[in-house]
Amino acid sequence: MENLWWKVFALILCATLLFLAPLLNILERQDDIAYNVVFAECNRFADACRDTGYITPNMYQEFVERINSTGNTYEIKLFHINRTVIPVYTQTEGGLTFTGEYEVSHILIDEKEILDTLFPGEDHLEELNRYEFKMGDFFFVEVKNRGKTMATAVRDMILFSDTQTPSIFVRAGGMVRNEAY
Amino acid sequence: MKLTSFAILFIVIILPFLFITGHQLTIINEDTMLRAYYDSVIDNAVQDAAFVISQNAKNFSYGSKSDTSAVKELAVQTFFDSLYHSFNVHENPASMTRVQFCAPVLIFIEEDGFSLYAINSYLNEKNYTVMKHCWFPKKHYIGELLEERYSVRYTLGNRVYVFDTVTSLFMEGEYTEFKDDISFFASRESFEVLRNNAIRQSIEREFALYIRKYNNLRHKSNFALELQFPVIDDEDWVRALNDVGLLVFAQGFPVLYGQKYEHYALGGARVIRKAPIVGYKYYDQPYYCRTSCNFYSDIIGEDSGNTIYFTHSVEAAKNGYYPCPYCRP
Repeated sequence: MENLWWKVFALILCATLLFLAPLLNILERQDDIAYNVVFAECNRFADACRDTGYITPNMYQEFVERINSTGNTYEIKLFHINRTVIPVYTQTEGGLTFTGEYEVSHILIDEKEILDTLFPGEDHLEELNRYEFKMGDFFFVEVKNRGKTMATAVRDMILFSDTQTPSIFVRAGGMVRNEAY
Repeated sequence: MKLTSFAILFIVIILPFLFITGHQLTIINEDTMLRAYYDSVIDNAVQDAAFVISQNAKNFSYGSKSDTSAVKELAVQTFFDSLYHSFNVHENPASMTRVQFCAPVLIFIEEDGFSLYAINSYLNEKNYTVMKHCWFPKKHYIGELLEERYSVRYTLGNRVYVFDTVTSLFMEGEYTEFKDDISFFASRESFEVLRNNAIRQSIEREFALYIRKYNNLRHKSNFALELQFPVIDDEDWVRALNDVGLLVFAQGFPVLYGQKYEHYALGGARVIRKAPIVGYKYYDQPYYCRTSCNFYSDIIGEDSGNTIYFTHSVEAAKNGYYPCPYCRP
């Protein structure tokens, strides 16, 4: 009986070490490669948008295809931060009075509005639907993996844990430098 | 013992080693990625600031006495805005302060001097000690005493301001105007060497002084970080010394392993050395090219009379000028 338990233990150990450990190692390397690809593609896409001043549906689709080629699924967020200079008025008894000052407000436009402009639906296929930025705005693209990558799943299985943080997270972008439209 | 027992014993011995080295490797790997990410964020922010400077470049033209403080303010504001949005901490004051303290020193390089935008501590009107970024007074690029009597103030261009300590005379002009008095100004190469050294040493001197001040502040207020003098490549210095721009030192972003994070980034605005586009006619055919083009300077000559200057190649093309086939502007 004692011999049987010993064998079972040896079997589990063998399965872990001969199969799961190398698999985990390979999958982790795959994650590293995926991170590098996503990092490069995000920077490339963000730089293209910043240097031209607009996004076209083609640019966006090509970007999505490229990062999807890594085999994971991703959650892509686009941030357009509109910088608007607004005058400052104060409320007085006789109505509004101009203070002579201004402030710069940062208005966040998220990916819903951008994607609605890029892909307005089947009725508008003929239109030139591109999303345009203003020079001086900020544009950022944020990508994180949805769910778990294979490496995280295998590691969680071995260690009996439940990882919630994304293993691939990239945020790239900056100021829009051109209005080439 | 049986073979399986040997195998298990072997595994029990080797597993901790494998686990520890594997874990260390993972940390080093992630650390490298994190540092590369910080580098890209800071480089990006500096480029944005440099872009803003070149957009507002008209204030920097030669000899103009217009006020540059608005552009300086705008440039550093853009730099920090870009950083805040990159880390997604805009409108989160605590995190914004954290980011600010990771970029303690910004050096704004102007045509005839430079100024530090760095963390300083002062008492406000309610007698609280405030620590925030402040502009330090502008400093000029002053070199060594030449010929034992001339004190020279350099600029990023060819213009120099010379003070004769013997006769107490103050003169200014292109460096070539002084080549009879100062033998070092006879050739362009020796002038460039002197100029680069003067600019570099002025900035380094000022920066070293500031580091001492900052580290004193640090002792009083328990910063975790000691500012260190960064090592800057010679090529980057040469790049820095040629144009208006922003030099940023970032230290202290959280890393996982090894040395403290330390990075400097340089954004040149291409204001002074921007090559203008010149249009000329060659065999009645209009062409445009850069003034540095060999074909233009050899064949046409700068004072041929029938040349026209443009600010941009688009403007030249709009007027019907073809791009020069030699330099492809």
